[in-house]
Amino acid sequence: MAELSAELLAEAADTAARAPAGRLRVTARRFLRHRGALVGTVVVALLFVLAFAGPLFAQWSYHDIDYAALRQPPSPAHWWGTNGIGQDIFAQTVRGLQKSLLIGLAVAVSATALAALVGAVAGYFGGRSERLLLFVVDLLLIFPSFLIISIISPRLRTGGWVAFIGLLAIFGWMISARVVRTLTISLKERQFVRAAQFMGVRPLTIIVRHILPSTASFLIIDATIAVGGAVMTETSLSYFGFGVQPPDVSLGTLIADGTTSAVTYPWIFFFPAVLLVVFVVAVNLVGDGLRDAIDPTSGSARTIGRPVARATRRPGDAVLDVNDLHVSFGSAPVVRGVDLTVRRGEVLGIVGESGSGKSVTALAILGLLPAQASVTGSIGVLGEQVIGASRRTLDRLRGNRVAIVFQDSLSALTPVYRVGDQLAEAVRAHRDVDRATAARRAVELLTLVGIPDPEVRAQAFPEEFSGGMRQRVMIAMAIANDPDLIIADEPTTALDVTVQAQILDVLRTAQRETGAALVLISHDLGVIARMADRVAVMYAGRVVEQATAAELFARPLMPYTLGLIGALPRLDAGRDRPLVPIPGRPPSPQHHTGCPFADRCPMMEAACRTAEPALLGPAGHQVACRRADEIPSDPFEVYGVHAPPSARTSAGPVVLDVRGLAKTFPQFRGKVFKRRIGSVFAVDGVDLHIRRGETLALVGESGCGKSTTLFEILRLEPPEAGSVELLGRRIDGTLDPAGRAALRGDVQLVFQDPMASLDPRLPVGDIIAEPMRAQHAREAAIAARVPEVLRLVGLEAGHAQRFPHEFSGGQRQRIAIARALSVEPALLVLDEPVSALDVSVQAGVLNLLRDLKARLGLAYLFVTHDLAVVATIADRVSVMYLGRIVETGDVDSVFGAPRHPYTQALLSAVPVPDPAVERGRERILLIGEPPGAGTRTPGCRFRARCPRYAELDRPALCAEREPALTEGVACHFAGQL
Amino acid sequence: MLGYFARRLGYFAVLMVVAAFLSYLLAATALSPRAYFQARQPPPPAAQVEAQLAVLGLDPEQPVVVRFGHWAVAAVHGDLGLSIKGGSVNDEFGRRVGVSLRLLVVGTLLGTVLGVAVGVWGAVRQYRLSDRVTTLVAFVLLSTPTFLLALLLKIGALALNQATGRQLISFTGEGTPGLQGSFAAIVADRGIHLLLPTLSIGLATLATYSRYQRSAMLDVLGSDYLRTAAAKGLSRRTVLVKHGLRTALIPMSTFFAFGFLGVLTGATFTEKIFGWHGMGEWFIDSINNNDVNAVVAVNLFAAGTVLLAGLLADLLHAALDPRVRHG
Repeated sequence: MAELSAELLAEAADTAARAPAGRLRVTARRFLRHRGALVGTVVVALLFVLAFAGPLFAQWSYHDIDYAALRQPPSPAHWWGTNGIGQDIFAQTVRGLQKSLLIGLAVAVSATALAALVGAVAGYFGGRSERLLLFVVDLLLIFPSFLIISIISPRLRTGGWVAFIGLLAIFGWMISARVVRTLTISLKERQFVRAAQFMGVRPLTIIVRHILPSTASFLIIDATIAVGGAVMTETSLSYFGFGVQPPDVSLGTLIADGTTSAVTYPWIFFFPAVLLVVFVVAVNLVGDGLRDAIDPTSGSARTIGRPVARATRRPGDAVLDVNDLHVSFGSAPVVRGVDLTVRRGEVLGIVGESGSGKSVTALAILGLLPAQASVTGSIGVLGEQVIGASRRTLDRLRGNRVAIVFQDSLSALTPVYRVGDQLAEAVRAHRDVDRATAARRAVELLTLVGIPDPEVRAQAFPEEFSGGMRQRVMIAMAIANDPDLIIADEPTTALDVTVQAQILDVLRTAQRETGAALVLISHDLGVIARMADRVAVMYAGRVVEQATAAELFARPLMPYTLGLIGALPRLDAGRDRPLVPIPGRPPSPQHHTGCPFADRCPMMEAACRTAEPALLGPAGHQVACRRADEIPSDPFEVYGVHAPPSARTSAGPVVLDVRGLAKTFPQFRGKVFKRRIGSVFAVDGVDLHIRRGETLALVGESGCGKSTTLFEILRLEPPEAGSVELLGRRIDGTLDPAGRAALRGDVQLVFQDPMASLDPRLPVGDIIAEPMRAQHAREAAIAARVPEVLRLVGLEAGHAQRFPHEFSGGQRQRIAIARALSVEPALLVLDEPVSALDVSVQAGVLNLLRDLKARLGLAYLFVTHDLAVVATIADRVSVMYLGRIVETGDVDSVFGAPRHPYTQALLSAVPVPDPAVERGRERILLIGEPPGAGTRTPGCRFRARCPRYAELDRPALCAEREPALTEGVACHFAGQL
Repeated sequence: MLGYFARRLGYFAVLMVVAAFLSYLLAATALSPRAYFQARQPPPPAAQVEAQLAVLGLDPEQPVVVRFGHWAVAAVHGDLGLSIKGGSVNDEFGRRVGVSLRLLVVGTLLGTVLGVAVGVWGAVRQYRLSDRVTTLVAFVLLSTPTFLLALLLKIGALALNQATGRQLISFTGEGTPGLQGSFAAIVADRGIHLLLPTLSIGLATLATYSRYQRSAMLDVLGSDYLRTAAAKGLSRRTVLVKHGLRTALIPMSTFFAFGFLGVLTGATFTEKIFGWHGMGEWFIDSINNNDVNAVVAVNLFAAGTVLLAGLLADLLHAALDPRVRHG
């Protein structure tokens, strides 16, 4: 039983492992709110008191025999009666309880400790230890431990019940060990563990410092439930005479004694039996409460008060008419009075940062909010009220009159049904057609959204589709019934930039074909500028500015909008344009008395805090700001940002020199028995050179091998092919461990996601000290250095005592940078360092990186997919495609006059946040998607998607010979534009 | 697909051989058949005991590996040796295996199907009264060891019979010995005897499955694809059953494989308590009699049924998840 719950627990515990340590208090509060857990805790405590204090009060000892009282019912002399030979049932039961509890506790603690150790080691090191563990577990599953214990236990006369405990523990750790192994494997992929590995922290230290503390929540729950399980096993064995041996007693032997006369002398049987069940139920309740308290997804659904859904007025007859929409979860308001109107054929863009309420608004329009959401106001779709509508009405509207395209996720489509069937289902939900017709319509739809080979692909399962293809399917599904309104919620957010360009095109086509209105929700101003006729800017659950796209981008009136536009790196602006960092962080859902942006606003004055400004102004341009009239339209003026110091320093000595680097992975098929079917050429001959004081950006789409390149360099092991030289030291077989350890201090890494790359259980000071400790720095030196680097990245020395969760995303990335800088590296490797951040905080981090480079003369290897960021921060750029560099050079020259068709396509796919520029641009759309990593074909590997190859009528040269990187570009026809 | 099952079978065969060896090793070293003979009244002469042990293939002079070799050769030819009382293990096996399987199959089937239903219902009505009640009942059932559950059922039936003065529920053995009557009467008698043992196995299974199914279903209820299905305009019923339940059933096939072990252990107690002459009862008696060959035979049965359940779970998985068949 406990074994099975362990499997399910793993997931909950893994979620908990992601939770920061400061959640401890929250967890405790949630646990105390769990009524069952509270009762369980009290009962367990009482039973422990009874078991250990009971003998002090009892008049009889458990082995005393009162010959005058045989089978006596409960009386003042014998509180719970006596058994057949005159023993006191109370004394016996208390003694049995004591024994059972001790055995249960001892077994649970020792088995869990063993499980933690074996599981963590097997999971971390993998290989043989792991296979052995799995085999032993499988063997024990078919070779039941209960049977083994029954055979061995009665022969252990010498060891008595201590040996019995050992036996139960030895046969009770395997399942938990397997769960710990699973957890460890997933932890090993977590960035804070990988960060420690790259710092050179030793494996055992990593297990003790990072892995075991992260599995603690699972282990605590597991041990709790294991107590119940062990008591159950012990009593079962003892009942049949295989456990505790007479004259000693346990609950099991007592129940066995009482069985024969349970109907005539119930007290002999029922006192031990009831205590047993009560104890195990209580322990399980405690375990369940712990799990609920730790797992943030469970139990949170219990909101205070009943959710309301109340429509406040009759909707107008526009395609979409949202009026004074309020949505709240419990007491937290998420949407606070939103008004939107969309007319036939119009494209409304909604832009906002995380937590602005834009996605909740989208879900509300389809009536898809979870049941615990309170919704008031009015949402009219073609004149029909959605709020409080019957299921029947909603079913009729959804997918028929109004359709939605969600952000791509692996699980956006039901995994077990074929794509064609899911499309046909959407058709049949609203049209009375037979299966064959619906299937034909599904293929038509797939054709319409540009899926090649639609008949064949309709038979595929969602997991066989790439992100871009899945998104096309979602669009096909949305237009299946010619809707009047399509809502697209971050439809391109998870996609590569060339695919994003295609999907936006498909969305345009879909809208044109159906004549539907489109509500496009995005955090990306560039996407909005490209697509929208009208734009609504959302902040803290409200629309704070609304205007036509041209008007909004040309004359933004709200300081927040100004800041957003100024914070965004632009491809067409260059490195001398400063970025506007908006201070603070986007607010969490809450009530606001004044203007919600006041804390971050440079134009704030006292009156802004007294009342929340309403959305006012002529229909063409409305804004919710008291000072809208006085605001200059230049963000740099508003935010007081000046041009950055010229970052161009004279290039120093070479820091990193990579030539012909290659890395292949074996490719397997099959889930259980893997067969090698070939190789993946992830990195296939890459050259990189970085000098001191220089930033080299390595750009490319997902799967191009840029991350593999980076990790191959950081590994500091001799590469498979080619050479890596760091600070003039060649990394080859002659590099000894000491030399490698020293080099680790010279190159440091900053990960993409600052939440994941900092161990939530360590205080910031320890996090920053980790690379120094790995370098064996003295504690005094560490104590001096930590406040120094904290100040260097714009934090305070006092922050060292706090935990990562107390900081905002931008601040956490500063901590990660401080950690990297603590050992004064020569080279900083930055892996997508700003792509997980909101635009408004991104700018601050980019400015900091620019500033640090100028002050410290660092060299950066900056890996990113975002070309606008490259334009802002890099000196040189290398563009990577399928494991090779296809173009390299100064950012100004490469971006100014790209020569490789891939670079040209990439640049043209990046949307510019300015409708005037964006709509006038001629765009090179690539066909197809970035192919799966590392297939090696003869000839140019880009030709399948290359517009120039098609234009030049497929010259034979491209198919025969792979172009070499000459004069910064790898294309046979680079000159011929 | 076929290749996959062939490889699975191969792996199971390896596990089976290792399990057979280990159980023989364990039984042969931990049990002491000599004690069985010496405990007889009057104690037989030493030479006779030695001879008897040799006949059983349990001569302690031989290394245990050699003894296993002899046993294995015979076992491959379908002979599981002699029991300590001199009878054929094969015959006893044949007599008892049907009894156990009847109990296991009915209990597991009922428990699984009802457990899945209760679990889904609880998930859909999360935190409502019905969910809280089923959760509480499942908790108490999960916290009651099977032997105690069986005892409580038996005591309850006994009290009921005494209170009403009639034999309403019979609970000893598989049927009333020597019962004469029509076919229907015999079936009814068998059914009444089956009631309590099946309940004690089925209830525990039901409680376990309802918890897992509830949890699996809750996971699915929060998934993106259920939201997509609802956004298509499918009815709530279609969304829940066709997209939700179908997907939530897949992980249950794995639990089926794991869970069978618990059922088997529970069945051992149940048989002993209700006086069913099945494999579980035989196992407990054999340990008490130091009967090595019989213990090994029951272990083989246990390993075999668990592996069969594993295989069944694989088939179930393939049936539920078309991707397995497709890939």
